[in-house]
Amino acid sequence: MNHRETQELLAWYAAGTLDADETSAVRSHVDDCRTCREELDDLAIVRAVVAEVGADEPAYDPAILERAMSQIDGIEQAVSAPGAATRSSERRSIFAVFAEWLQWSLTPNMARLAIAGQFAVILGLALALGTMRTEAPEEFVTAAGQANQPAHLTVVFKNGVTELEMRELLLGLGTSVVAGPGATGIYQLRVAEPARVSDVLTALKAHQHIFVAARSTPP
Amino acid sequence: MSAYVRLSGMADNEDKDIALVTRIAEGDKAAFRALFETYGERVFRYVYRMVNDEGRAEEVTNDVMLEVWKGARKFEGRSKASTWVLGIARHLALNAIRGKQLVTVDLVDSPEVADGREPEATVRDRDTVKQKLRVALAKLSSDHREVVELAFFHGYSYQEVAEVMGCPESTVKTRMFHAKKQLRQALKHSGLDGMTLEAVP
Repeated sequence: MNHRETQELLAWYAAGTLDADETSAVRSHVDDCRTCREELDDLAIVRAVVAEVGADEPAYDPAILERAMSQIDGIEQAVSAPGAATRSSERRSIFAVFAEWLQWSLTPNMARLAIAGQFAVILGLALALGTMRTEAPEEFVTAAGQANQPAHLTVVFKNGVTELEMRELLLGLGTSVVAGPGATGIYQLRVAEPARVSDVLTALKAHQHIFVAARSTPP
Repeated sequence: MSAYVRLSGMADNEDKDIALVTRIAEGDKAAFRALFETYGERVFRYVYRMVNDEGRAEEVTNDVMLEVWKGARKFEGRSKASTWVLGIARHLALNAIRGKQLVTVDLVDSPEVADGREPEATVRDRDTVKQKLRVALAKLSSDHREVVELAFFHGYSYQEVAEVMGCPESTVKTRMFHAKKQLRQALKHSGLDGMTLEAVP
């Protein structure tokens, strides 16, 4: 293992969470590298201080679990939606991605119809314009060849969201509008820092003002 | 409270956790209780460091528990149960921060912040090093600090950190690279680079 590779793993070596092969490879380099040994000393201090910060924090209250235990009786469990709660590099159909995001099974029938109609329009237009892809593996945006290219996302805001709310949300996430709105409210966004595109997408999906968000190709 | 506890990583624990989530998906409340007797504190600690408000952290932790109950059938076991739960926690904590306009502040009340004055010129004092480092930690970007805390406080491997944060392992390594660079800089500025602290259990 060379110096650069060792440097990448050194923090986890200090934390003791590398597998046996990596541990052995790092150790053999560190034994001959003064720079890495000095860094390990520093990382030991960092680790100690990070642990101590935790000691100052409020204690966990087990009553939180007791409250949750009393609440789950009235909560319906979602039906199975493959891959919904786990990350996967496998490509899934865009319908599966969106249906899971919309928590389809928990949506009332009338709302399903409304959402289905809106979804169909959005999907049809997006596919016609060739602007949407299924969720790609994360490596797509951070692979070496893509590192300097801005990442693009497609979003649709919920009804009633004001221009000010849109602006604050987009600026806050370091994104800018590069196209749109289209007839059905689709905006194309560019994420200033490609390395953060996953975080931005996660934040958009979770935000109360966003109806739907997905990756897209540049307009 | 335990300072540095690695709760996952052992294969048998992983199998046990996956079995618990499977039982939760079948409506098993005892499994739900067992899962959060193990991970409740970890979720709370993680969320607290993101929202920096005890009451809100308790609310979000409660929401995480309910979300796990609701969504257990969606868990397919392709990631560890512990990272799946923490991924939900991250999602809901970010929601709480961004949706409710929570203002996060420094994690530590350093003398510089609390008193508005520089610490006394005892830069070679061991506590000052810690203080400098705490301030440096608090000044890290949230993504960088999160990687450091997941690695050193929660004891997650870089693969697990990537699962929790929903980003590639290469991104996790890059974030750690930048974080440790800033933290080491703080150590150097303290004039105490390389000083040995007492081991933390």
